[in-house]
Amino acid sequence: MLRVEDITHSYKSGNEWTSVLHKINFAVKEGEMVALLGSSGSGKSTLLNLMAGLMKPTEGHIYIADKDIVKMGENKLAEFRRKNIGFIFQAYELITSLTVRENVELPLVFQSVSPRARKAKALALLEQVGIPDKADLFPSQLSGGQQQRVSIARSLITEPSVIFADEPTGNLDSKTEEEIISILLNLNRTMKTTFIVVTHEYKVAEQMQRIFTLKDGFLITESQREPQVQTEPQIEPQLELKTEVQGEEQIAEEAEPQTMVEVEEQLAAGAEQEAVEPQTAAADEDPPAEEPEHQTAAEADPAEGGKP
Amino acid sequence: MKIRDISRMAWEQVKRRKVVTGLCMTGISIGCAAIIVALSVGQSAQVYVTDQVNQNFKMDEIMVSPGGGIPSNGKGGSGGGGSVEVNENLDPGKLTDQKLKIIQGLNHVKAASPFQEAGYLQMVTVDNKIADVRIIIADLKMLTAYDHKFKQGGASGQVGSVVLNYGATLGLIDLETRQKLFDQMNAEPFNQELYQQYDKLGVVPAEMYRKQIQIQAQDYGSTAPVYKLSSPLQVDGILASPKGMDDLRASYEKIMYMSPETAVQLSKELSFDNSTTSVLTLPPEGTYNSLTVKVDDVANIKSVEQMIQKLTLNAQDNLFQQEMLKEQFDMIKMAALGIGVFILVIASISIIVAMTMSTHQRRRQIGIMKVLGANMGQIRNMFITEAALLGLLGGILGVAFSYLIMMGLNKLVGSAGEGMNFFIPTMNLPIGMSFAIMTGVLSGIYPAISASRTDALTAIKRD
Repeated sequence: MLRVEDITHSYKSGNEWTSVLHKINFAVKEGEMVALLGSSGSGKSTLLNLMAGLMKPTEGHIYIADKDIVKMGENKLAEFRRKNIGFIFQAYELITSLTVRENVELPLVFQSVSPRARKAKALALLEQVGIPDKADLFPSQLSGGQQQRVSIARSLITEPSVIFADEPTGNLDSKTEEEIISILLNLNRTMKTTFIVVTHEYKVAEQMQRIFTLKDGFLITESQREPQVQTEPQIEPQLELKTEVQGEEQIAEEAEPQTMVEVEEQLAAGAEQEAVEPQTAAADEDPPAEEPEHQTAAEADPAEGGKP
Repeated sequence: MKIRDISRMAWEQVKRRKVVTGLCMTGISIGCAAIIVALSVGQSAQVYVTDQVNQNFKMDEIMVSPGGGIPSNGKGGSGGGGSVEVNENLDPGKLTDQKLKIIQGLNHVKAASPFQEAGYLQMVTVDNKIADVRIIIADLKMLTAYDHKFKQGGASGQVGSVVLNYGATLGLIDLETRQKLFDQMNAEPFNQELYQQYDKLGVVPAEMYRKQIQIQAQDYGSTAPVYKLSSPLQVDGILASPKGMDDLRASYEKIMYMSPETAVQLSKELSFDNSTTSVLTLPPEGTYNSLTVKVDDVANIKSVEQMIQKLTLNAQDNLFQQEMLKEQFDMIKMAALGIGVFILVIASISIIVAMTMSTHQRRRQIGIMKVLGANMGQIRNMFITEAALLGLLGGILGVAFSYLIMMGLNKLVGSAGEGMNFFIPTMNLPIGMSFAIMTGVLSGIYPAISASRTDALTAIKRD
């Protein structure tokens, strides 16, 4: 579904080049819901923008539905985005002059879909995200959580191959956050839409099927949640060998700067240790302490894996 | 993206951004109104002047006089398609009875009748009032065929019967009063009151219908003033004043129409023994010195004229008057249009500024739309449509403005007592509107392109 191959990205500031992403490789299968976890400055947002075609990488390829979006021109990309990509933003990004329904319909407006067809679709989606009665209100009349539901409905209306959610709960309180995440999980389950959720919060990420953790532009871990029998029957063996998130915390304290080789070595060492409590450095940005569901597959407890 | 959706979104923006909309609409409406008013004032003036010219010069008439014309050699004269047989026996250059009959038989000729200038003579009323009148010898029954209307009476076939135009009934004063006034005016050439008094006297109407008058002639050949009076003539008809002509202007032209028979009698009565020439200029019998031809349509004037010229006659129409006017007013209209366009260009700067500002304010929205899949063309079209809509609204406001301005002008001119009426020809409205919409679109192009080039990522990035 989505393949990221050797993505490297750097930008020039003054006379110096600053590297943001280093040789990132991963793949997401159709219908999967994965998290891109990382603290601020880890490069997760850059990676999201690259995957969405909003930026061009310095090197590498990104395949969505077997098409290399890196090679596309702006208008072709716009068309591709229109048909294949959905977006959920941290700040909802609804157009204030349009009603809720019109906001949901907007992507279809760019596809010249007839008003009747898009209205029916928008209303159905609003129903699905639990706000069928808000269709004729304006975004300013809604709470944050309701606005994010509108944004979710909007992202779904084109039936995209993949939906990128950029900190979808970043502006919400914890109760609403849970509601939104459960909506996303539910949609993933029922509609089989592929989701890539960018977040800095471990408690959000841990509810996804897989977590890709980024730190300083490196993809340092890829962990697999205990599979649900119905949705994820197979687990790729080489991913299981990689370590869990705690290891990364230790490495971060032990040696700076890190190279990918060092990271991997240290991760391998860390993997041998039993679950160590995470350190408190950068505590508010980094994954929280408890992470029972994300263990290496060998250690995974089948009883804990199921529920989001 | 459907046109309907683009228009609706543009309309939403126009409705929402009231200040920008207001600014742009004001700018465009002023320019649009300037164009409509400028063109309309030009056209109103043209209509007014043309009306005035038409009162004095009839466009559907041809004046024919002896001589000139195109000598026919059998090959020339492609125009007209008429069937004028040129007889070698026709007196070349002379306006004969025979030629008159040929002209009367031509296609498109409604009437052809001699109107011969016989000079100026003094008319004396029974109560001894005098006026200088121009004598025109014509078939009195034909007067109505040449758009003359009788105010009183009509044409009579009797010898000694005359018809006066309306001007000839105005300002009849007795000799003494007139002489006194002239003397005073000579003594005090800068006394305005005297001139006003003269003008006032000039338009005093006199009841002339069915009155008897005489023509007085002076023998300029003798040393002492010798006067001769004709036998009494009867005024059987008074012509109405042409539409729109005021009394003062009418009083400048005093005409007395009489039949050829009356003219011959008058000529005999007023001849002086020692003079060889008559006081009345009469052409030899069977010929005429002037003929007026009325044509059914202005479009046929030239073809009839060519045929008349084949008869080795001079033919002259009044179309050149109109052409001259048209040329002059075309120039005025172009200048007016130039002023309007200049104002619109100035207005367009305000639109460019307002729209560019609006683009910057809406960068985030543009970014979101791009992320949601809008391409550059769609963003550009949305902005251009918005600008066109502003142009349209400005145009509508401009039309309203122009009507207000014209109403004001009419009030202003009306209070000054002039007969000119300012109006807006319907054709000017679409012209003004098109200019307004064009200005909107043209000045929307730069902001639209700049909007479409907005980098989505930069636009949606939060600081």
